[in-house]
Amino acid sequence: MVKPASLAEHLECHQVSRRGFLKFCALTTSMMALSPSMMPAVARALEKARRPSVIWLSFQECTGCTESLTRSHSPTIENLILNYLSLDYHHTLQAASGDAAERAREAAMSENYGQYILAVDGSIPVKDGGVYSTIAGVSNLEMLQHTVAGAAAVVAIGSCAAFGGLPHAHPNPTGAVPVQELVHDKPVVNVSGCPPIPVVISGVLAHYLTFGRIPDLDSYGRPLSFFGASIHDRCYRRPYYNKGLFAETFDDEGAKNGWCLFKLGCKGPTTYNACATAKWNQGTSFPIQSGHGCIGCSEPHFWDAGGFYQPLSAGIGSVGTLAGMAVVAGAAAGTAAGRLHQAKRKQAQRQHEKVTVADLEETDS
Amino acid sequence: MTATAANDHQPLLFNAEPILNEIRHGLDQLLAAGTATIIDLQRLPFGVDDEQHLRDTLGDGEVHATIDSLGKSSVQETGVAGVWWVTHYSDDGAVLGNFIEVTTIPEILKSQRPDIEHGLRKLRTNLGADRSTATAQE
Repeated sequence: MVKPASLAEHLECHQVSRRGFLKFCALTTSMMALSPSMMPAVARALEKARRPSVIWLSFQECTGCTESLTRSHSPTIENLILNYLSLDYHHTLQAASGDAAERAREAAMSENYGQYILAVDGSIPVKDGGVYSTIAGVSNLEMLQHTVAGAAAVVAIGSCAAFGGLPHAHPNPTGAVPVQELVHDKPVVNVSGCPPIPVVISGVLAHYLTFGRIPDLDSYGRPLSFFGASIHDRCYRRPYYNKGLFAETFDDEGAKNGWCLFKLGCKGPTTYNACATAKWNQGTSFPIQSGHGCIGCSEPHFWDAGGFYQPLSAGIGSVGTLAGMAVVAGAAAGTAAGRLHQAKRKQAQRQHEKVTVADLEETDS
Repeated sequence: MTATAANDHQPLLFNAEPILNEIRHGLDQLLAAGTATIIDLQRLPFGVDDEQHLRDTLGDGEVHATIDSLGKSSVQETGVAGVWWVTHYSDDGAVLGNFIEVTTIPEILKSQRPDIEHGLRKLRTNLGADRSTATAQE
């Protein structure tokens, strides 16, 4: 079968009417988090869009990012986008294995050299020559360097690829690093999150498909349209924060009333992502709506940023209150003693190192 | 803080009022220059009472259409003429998009030129086939 040359022809093959195409454009514009006023421009661009090749490499990861994408909540629209991409190599999803799989990657590279999108999930271990993770006898480091050479752009999918993630967490035994530490001569888009929101992954791919370039990025290399506002600023519980109404424990009256979870460790104020609007599970909910604070999974080094149940104000809040909250949150810091100098505490806050209740008690005493 | 503060039955609004004001400006622009405004509700954070407040304030209008293309779409004019609520659904009924359009008629309701051309070709073919059949019977 001859592959359709443009997206418009692809949709026509699926017997999608022009009215359906307009719906597709409206939802794709929304998916890319662009203003609805961009819809005519998106329609014009999508009519001419050509089928891009995507090579997806999975390194030190848990496959949660792929799970997120393949269980995306708007299959009608996203499938049309994803079916239109030519996903030429993805060793978890493809039928081929072993030498045949690697030959598919080499073939896709040679046929689309300089034009394919390289998607990477997982961090790359570089300690001891990168021996801690290999595919077909090739280290992740070597495979990345080889494959990135012919890529037009790189999309680092998930917090491991974007910032190192769990493998990079202290003590980082494999010397894991994110993509952006190894790739300096190609545009890199970081789609962070553990896992990232499926509509953000497909939105970035749709943006490249539509406009032929990567979207505008923030200082961490993340697409501004999705990561431009904090969870806190877009949280439906924000009015409670403004009114000073907080849940103090997970089962008190405030929790039952759906009040702000800031005091229970919610990292929404320092976390930038689209969870509060894009949501999860077919648009059903997101962690805060389910009653649990944001853990900040789309921010760099979130695994080492202290306890999930420590309020962001822990460094300056009263120890008694903090200790009480830690206990009720099931995150008691234990009895280990240790003195943390004031300067070290400030440094730890800057570097997101763990600050225990004991550290704070010692410092404040 | 006591529970009383949250139980005073005041609606918890986040973005409903700004959206209503954007609609008001949109109607001004529509009357003055014929310019349409589209608001993507799925990209705006809503408080628990925002959507109901919007629906209560705008009310129901005279037109309600259903489109069946790439899943269902509902196009409903609100009680404020020129303000339309457009909701797109997937094949299994999940909401994919939720828009408010301030316009005389949403673009998606109009018959589109490529579809009209396709329909005309189809009609011509059918008429040609009918004529051939009629000629053969004579």
